[in-house]
Amino acid sequence: MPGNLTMTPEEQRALEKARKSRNIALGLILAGFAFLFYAITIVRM
Amino acid sequence: MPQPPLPSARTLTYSANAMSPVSVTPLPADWRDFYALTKPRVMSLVVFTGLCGLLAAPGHIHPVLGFTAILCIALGAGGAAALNQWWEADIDAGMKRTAKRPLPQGKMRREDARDFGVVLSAVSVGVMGLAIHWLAAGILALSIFYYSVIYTVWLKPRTPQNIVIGGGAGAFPPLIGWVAVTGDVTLMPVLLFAIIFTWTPPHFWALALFVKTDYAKVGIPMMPVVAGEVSTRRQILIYAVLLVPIAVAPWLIGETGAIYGIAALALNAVFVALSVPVAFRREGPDDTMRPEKRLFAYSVFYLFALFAALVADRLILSH
Repeated sequence: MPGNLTMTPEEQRALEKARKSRNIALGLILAGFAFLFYAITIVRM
Repeated sequence: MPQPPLPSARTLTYSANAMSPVSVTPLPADWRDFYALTKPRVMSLVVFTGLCGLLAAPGHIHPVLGFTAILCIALGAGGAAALNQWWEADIDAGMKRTAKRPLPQGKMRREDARDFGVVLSAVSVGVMGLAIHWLAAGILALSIFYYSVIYTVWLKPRTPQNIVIGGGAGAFPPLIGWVAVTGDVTLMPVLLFAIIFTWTPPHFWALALFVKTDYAKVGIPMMPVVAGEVSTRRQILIYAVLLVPIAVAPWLIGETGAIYGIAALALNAVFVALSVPVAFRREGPDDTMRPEKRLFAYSVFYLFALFAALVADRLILSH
């Protein structure tokens, strides 16, 4: 049996757009936490 | 009758293959869907009251740590809200007010909402404990458990007193904000807790009076559905009157000055005055429910104004 995902081009674009926006949001959150932990460390030293 | 898994507009269809049968799964959720899971409007009230507790507390906290404490309170509230929506997805689908939330709309998988809620909750408690202290983290963990388990899973579907006891969940933020600064639970933060606890029933029942058909439809035993309109209206007034001594108490015991005291007296006088017509009227045919809507809108303003007065009192009197 074939193992392919059946998607229309429109669905493919929607999938990529959603994935990209989620990755950007996640990246920003991680960067924010890295900065926050740095600041907390400095303050508590 | 089993419901279709998800609306077709946001789904992908996998063909039959060696690895998986024919199935339908949602597209990866957009970040806005996760943001909506945190109930941002409720969170704004949580952040505001938490910030007021933090600013009104005697003592000093470094701005970075203060920001971290409020961030943790917000993340905890968001995590609890996501867990609430994960658990209540079927109920939300049956109510007009909640049917457009991400899960009833099929915009994400249900387990993604659960995992998101668990991660947010764990991160908020962990960071609070490491950055501030574990007493504040413990109270934050208790507030998340209170909302997502005691209220959502246990009380809400079982008793018309759900809002009364569940109101405690929303009452934690100023207590946590205060404790983040002082590291101690004293009478004053407990009074702040009691203010929101007592404020919640009239606030929510005013709303429930004009959306009661929705709650009845999904079998949630809200007070207007179970005890009836007359009893609910009477209890709104009882709680509004009970709120007066609790809201004025911080002034009476000398924890705040006249700015807060006068504001509390005035705000509560209006609260009681708006509750009286709600208590003594009966819904008629084609009723627009204006007194109930006015009381609900005022109750939101009341809480913002009372806590703003608390902070103003502390900041002005300390200079």
